[in-house]
Amino acid sequence: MNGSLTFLSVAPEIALAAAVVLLLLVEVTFKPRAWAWAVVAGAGLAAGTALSAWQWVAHRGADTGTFWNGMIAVDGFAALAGLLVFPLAGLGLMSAWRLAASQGRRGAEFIALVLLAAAGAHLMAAAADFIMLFIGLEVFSLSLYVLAGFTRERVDADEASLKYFLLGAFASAVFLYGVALVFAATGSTTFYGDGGIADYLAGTVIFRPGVLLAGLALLLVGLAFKVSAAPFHVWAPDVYQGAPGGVTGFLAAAAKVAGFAALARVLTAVLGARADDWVPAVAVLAAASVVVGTLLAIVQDDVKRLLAYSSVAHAGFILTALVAGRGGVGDMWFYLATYAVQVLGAFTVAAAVSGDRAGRSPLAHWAGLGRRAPWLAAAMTLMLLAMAGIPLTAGFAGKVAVFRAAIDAGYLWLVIVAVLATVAGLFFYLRVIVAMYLASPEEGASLPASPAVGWGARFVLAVAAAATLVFGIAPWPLLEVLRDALPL
Amino acid sequence: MAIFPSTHATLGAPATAGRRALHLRAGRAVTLGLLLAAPFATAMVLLAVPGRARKTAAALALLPLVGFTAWAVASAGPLLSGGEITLALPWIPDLGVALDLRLDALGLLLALVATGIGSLVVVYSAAYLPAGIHLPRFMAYLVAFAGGMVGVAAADNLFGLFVFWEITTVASYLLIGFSDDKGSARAAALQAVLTTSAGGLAMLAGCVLLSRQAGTATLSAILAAPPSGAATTAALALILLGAFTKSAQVPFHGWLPAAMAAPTPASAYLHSATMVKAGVFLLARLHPGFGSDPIWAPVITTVGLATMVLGAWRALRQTDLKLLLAFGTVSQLGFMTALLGLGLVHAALAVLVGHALYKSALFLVVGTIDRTAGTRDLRVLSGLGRRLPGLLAVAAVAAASKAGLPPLLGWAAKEAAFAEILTVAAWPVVILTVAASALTAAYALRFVWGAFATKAMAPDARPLGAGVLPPAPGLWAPAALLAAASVVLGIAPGWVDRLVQAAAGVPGKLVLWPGWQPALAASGAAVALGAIIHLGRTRAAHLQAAGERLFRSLRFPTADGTYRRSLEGLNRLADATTGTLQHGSLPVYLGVILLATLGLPAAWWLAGGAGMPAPPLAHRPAEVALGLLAAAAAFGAARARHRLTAALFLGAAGYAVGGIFVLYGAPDLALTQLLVETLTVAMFAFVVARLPRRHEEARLPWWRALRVGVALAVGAVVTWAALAVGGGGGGEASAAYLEKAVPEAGGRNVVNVILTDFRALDTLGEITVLVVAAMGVAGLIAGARVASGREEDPR
Repeated sequence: MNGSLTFLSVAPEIALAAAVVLLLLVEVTFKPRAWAWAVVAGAGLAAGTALSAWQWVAHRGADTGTFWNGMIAVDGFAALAGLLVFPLAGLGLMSAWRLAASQGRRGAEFIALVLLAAAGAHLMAAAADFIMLFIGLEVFSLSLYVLAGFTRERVDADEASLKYFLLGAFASAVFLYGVALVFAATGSTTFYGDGGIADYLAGTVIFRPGVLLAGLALLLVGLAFKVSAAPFHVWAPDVYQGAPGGVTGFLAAAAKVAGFAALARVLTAVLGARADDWVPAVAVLAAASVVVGTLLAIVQDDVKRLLAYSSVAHAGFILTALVAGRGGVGDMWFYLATYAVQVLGAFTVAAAVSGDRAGRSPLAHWAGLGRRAPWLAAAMTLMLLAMAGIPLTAGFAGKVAVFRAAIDAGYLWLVIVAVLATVAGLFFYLRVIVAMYLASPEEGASLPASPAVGWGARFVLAVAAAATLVFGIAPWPLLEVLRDALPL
Repeated sequence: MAIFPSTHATLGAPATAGRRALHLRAGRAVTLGLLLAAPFATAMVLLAVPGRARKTAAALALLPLVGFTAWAVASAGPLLSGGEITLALPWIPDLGVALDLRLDALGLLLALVATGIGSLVVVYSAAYLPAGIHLPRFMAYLVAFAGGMVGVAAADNLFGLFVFWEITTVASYLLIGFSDDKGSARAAALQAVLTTSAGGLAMLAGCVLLSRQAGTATLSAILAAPPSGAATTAALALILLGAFTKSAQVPFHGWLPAAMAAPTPASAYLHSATMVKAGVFLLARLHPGFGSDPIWAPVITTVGLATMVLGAWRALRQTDLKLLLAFGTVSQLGFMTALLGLGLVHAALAVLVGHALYKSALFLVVGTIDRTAGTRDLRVLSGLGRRLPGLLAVAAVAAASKAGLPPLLGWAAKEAAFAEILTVAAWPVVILTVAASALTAAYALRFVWGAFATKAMAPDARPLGAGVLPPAPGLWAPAALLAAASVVLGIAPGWVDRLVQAAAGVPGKLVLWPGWQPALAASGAAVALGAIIHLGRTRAAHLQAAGERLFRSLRFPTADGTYRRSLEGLNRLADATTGTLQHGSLPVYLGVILLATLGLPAAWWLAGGAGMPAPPLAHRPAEVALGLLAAAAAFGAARARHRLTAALFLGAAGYAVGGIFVLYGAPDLALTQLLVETLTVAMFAFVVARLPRRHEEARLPWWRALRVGVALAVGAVVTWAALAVGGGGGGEASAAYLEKAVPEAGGRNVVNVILTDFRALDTLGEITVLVVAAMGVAGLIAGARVASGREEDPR
């Protein structure tokens, strides 16, 4: 392996970290206007994206490897994660820009946290060692905890942040304990190479299978918590509802991408040899998530909470792809990427409708939105239809892809459960659409002032709508490309 | 619609054996693709047209519909002789999902009905819809719907079919909820879309399953070599669910009457002439491949017959003319379904064409009545026939076709159907069909009588007549054209016969005069009986009311009740789940997560997937003492009432663990542990000083017991894991580092070397974690100021 590649292997993280340091230094030294933050953050994210793109071009397929004593992997999987996470962070920043700019001098911290979260998320995807993975997880999670409670204007935002932190810390501890047990069973925390976990498990004799399985279970729990798969989803609705409207979209989208990236690598690449053990567990988690998420979403009267439960259901759909093991990773990426954009778009609309500092977004706020703000309503409709899986949106192509993957893996029952949940899910997505177009605002209801949409949010919605339509109408090029996004 | 990667046209190659292969020019295939894309493009354009430009909107909307009709008629010749126009449009090739098109005679039939009647409805809508309504948007939905219908007719891939199928559902939803702010219209729109989408998704599952069974998703290939077996039957059952919901069959028919909240032109088009025919069409499409499946005949025939009788029965009771027609549509759809169940594809398609023509005419007449007289309640309408004789004539012709009177297309279709039924079906089927036809004749009479007759009015009724003005040509001409088509095609049914025969793929006979035959007796009896029912309508109404009372006393589930109950049930289930799972309480959340965490290994253990060895209890005597100390401290922490006491107990447990590290030869680790514990306890002491001194206690005893139980279970598992791990040989990890420390890193302090060299990247990462944590703490401190400022500020 080329020595000069060593630093290039973590170049995206370096770019992001440099941007964070620069941002904070510039902020302290010059106290500039908000556009200067945007320049620094944009440059950092652009550099991260470009470096990931370079990694994608040069190091997917055959030319992959690990660096830093086998702690960092450079492969299509990691590169794609960068290509997804960094632009997503950029969109998240644009969506939350008004919120950040309204925080005075603390706005720079807000932006720095988003950048750090993006770096952590990419590290989770690129880690080739459990210790590294855990560090990525911590950087990422801590940033999100702080972001969730950032505005500190409402008690429920504090509560959301605290709940997220306590339960999240607990989940991290569970994950760490799982790492310890896997280490005890295999004698390594490194994924690849001689003496790595994958190598050890490929051998015939497993010294302590019970310990390995217990470790695997705890790893699964820790990561299932991050992606809010049922029954480890309990935090998600409270946090999504409590967090300020402007941040929730990034919170929801990034958590899914980072969590699933880590989960996919750990399960399919590292523990691929034990697939017979974890595939049934993942299938059960997937079924529980789609059922619980869908059922609970039906009774919600708050759009942010509804989207939270729907995100639990979507975690289940994405897990459905992983049931197919390595063969489902491309389908997982497709669903994940399109869903991340959709959920960011949907929360962006919610922030515009109910205010980007507000936590709650009751359905009453949405009544008659089709007349008050036709473009917002149209964007939301598109996002909701895509999440519901209506044809010609990316959501449909994603659902077909993951269902197909699961059927090929022999999990027909899971697909039937998922299809039934999709049917029931129509109900709550349509409820929001009906409220927007067919309901009139109640007499005397205090609506938030006419939805204010900043340019950043408009751009986010335009991108989200375009991506949802383009990948809905022509999904095959992306599906084709994502076949290369496999872990080492 | 879309830019496709490769739109290569293939020459027509009929897959079904026995059909004559006809090579059509490739240009036709491309034209088909373009003509299918045209409605969607037009819809996009229409969405941008301003609301005032009504004429432009109507003209724009007409363009793709008339264009397709003209093209379809012009290229019908080869199709009628068994040719096909095919166009391969790959979409997601990996998944077998494609928008491949294959237009044959059957597809042509449905497409012609959709675009032909669609053109007339567009003309009618422009005159019908009041100025307050955004006509271009209405037209956009209508045209997109027409595109969806043509797509359903021409799709040759199961998933492509599903896509177009869903487009029609969405368009229907948009049209039903189009102009009404009323809650009832919203509920109706929701009911319609929920029922049909639920069926549609069941169909999607069926399509996935069927494509797996067959190894391909291409419809023509599946029909040429249909799979069989239990899985195929299951797939078929799922697809039938889709067809039944779409075609408003019992017990899913409740949405169709509710959908009458749509503007009347939309009802005429979607909810009688075309969309509801999609289910029937799908059955006809599948019949060549699956007509011999064990569930085909019994299920479809039973459902169809039940729908036919129930719809006709309910129609006779309606006072709203539109609802009367809606139930009539349900009944006729049941008739077609029953015919398909019996395998009588030819008759079913003949009835389909006849019904599309007369029912849309009748709907348009109702719309005109509504517009001119201001009501469509037959208890209020009186004397309209004298004011509007032209409209009466149109309605009478269409109703006669519906009742099955010669020389109309409805007559020819019904004669053919009766003739075919009598050759294949058992007596109960024949009797039910005749009875339903009698009811059909009766409500056809009731329609004409109710809308146009001069009646003895109830004293409080508002007399009508004086203020009624003759309607504009746009309001009667389309209906008149449709009625005229019923007459012309009834007198000379040859062209329809050719189309229907080619579409059905079996010979049949559609003629004006079939000669003296048993079917004649059946239809004569039906018409006569219908007339008698109408003449004795007061008594018939009493009888019906009595029957319905009896029926209600049986508490047999009704379609509306079932729909409502299933929604309520779903709500209740969801409510109950929320109540138990989502308290908002942190201990509950933690409990759920912990239990689920235990569940995973437990499931493996129960499944016998992994041996769980009984680990040795201890390796050294001192370990036992330290372990017991840690356990006692943990117990004390859980029991302590004061926060500070609990913190001190926790610290003690940490010290005990540090002692175990010492036993295993890791003094550096032990030192770290001790320092962290000390520091944590100190910090705790600072924080606790600002908190209430005591914990809140859980009040309910069972709740406490549950918490103790969860805690003990988790503790037991973790203890087991710790002991099982502890049995391993030590030193594996450290040996390599000790060996490499001096030669590779030049350091004698192995711990330092590990931190700054071997695992330097980890260290850097940890520092980043600290940065984030510091920002969080800084935020908390800054926020505390905001919070205290917030409290002082009265706002």
